[in-house]
Amino acid sequence: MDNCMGQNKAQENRTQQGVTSTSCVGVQGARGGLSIALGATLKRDLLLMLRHRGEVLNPLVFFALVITLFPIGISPDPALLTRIAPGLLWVAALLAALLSLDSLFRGDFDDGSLEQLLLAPQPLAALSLAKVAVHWLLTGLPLALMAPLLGIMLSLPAGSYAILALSLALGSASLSLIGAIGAALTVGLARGGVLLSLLVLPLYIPVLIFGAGAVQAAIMGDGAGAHLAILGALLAASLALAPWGIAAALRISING
Amino acid sequence: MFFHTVFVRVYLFLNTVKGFFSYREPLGRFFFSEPGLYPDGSRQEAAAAATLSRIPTSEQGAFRVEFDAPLFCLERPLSLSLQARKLACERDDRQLFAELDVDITSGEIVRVEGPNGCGKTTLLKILSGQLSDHEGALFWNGRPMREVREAFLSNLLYLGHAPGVKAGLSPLENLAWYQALSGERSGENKRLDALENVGLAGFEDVPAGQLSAGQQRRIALARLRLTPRALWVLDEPFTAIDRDGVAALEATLLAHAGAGGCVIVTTHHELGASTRLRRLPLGQ
Repeated sequence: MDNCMGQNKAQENRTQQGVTSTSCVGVQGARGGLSIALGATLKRDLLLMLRHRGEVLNPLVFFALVITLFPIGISPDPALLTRIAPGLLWVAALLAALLSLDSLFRGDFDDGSLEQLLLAPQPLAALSLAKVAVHWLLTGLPLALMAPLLGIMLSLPAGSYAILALSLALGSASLSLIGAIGAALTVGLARGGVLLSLLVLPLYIPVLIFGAGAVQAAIMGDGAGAHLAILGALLAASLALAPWGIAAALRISING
Repeated sequence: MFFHTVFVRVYLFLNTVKGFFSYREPLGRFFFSEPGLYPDGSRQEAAAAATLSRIPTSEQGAFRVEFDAPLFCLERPLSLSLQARKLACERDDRQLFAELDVDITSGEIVRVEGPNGCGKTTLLKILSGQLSDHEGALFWNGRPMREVREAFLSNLLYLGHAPGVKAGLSPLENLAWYQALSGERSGENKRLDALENVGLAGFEDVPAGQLSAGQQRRIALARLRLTPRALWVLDEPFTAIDRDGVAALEATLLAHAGAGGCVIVTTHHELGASTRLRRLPLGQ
């Protein structure tokens, strides 16, 4: 084997010199590093959103303002407000989440990053899931955390705060996923915002029913477990299906 | 080290052969290839052909392996080809092109030419696999695009009209995303080198939004140096670039073709004469 080892050493030296000295062009092999690409996409989107704090704060301010309007506009009567609070909080949170959906892919579409995302040698479904995750982290989750605070204003009973936050956290993840399909479909359109609402709002109804139902059940003292379980199931289903829908919708938008 | 793995593979392979054929001479030629990581961090397919024989004087039946030099075909990679057959595309009831055949192989620069609105960008988008509503078929290395899409994409670098640069991120951060998208672990030195190469040294941490249009375009062009991709599809890469930058970019394109890559480019800038340059007129 010595002989052959020697030959190989010589080959190895030559090859390494070749590698370091030429600007090499090669046929790339199997794809890899999906986790690297996902991590970088998450980091990039988080960084971008944190540098544009306004975009993160807008839905939260909208949520707070809308909820503030109801006691003023309807009646400050605590009994009435308690009765309508779950629905109000959920509808307002849903609209706030919808408000920020339009910009989910818009920036990337305008500056050409979306083309590059589609041409990455990684599964588009996974990459778009990373973008949706960032949307949820900076919209759905803060909304869920803020909701109990606004619940106080609507004289929501103290026992239902945890359920309210939990149901919103679970539900808003589904909302982000479903909404992202609509956002991907309308990204190429000049005035996609209204169309986006029309497309997405009907699909939000099941999440709204079970989300508001969970809070209502918590107020009544019934167990909210069943509602939360269904919200979880909806999230699981949208987590499994929505990424493919988003990827397909993005391909259609780029084609158009 | 990747080379070491290849060697171990060869050795194991030889042992198997030895077991099966017990010293038949010559043991013959074999060819194998496997993806791996190169010392410079790029992921490539290594291919080797070798002749296998027993060393006659050896008592233990040692083997000799003679590799066909060079073992790694870096300067001449497994040859690349992108073919389009009978492409036809219609936009808004207007036929952009029909029955268009395009052939691009290693070492070529194809310049797509034609007046504004003749479908240059559309053709580039079709050739880079972005548009699907067209007639005709694409083949990458002789195989239908549908089957080899992932392999194609990992060899493709596309620069569109929009540079794909985020205004809110610094040039370094912009490049970091592109580096990671191709599955590479972060290599800041490589990014710094790439930026220095396009004349952005000193602007690494300035938000891209504060840079000029030409500088933003240069961030996108830094990607040419960042990740080794064989096929470059460039849509008007000379836009907003100054005269020195144009010369440097032209040299980069030629060097890429010289190293066995392919370039498809649309530009109104007159490229210097080269044997590698081929014209593809559209809209006539």
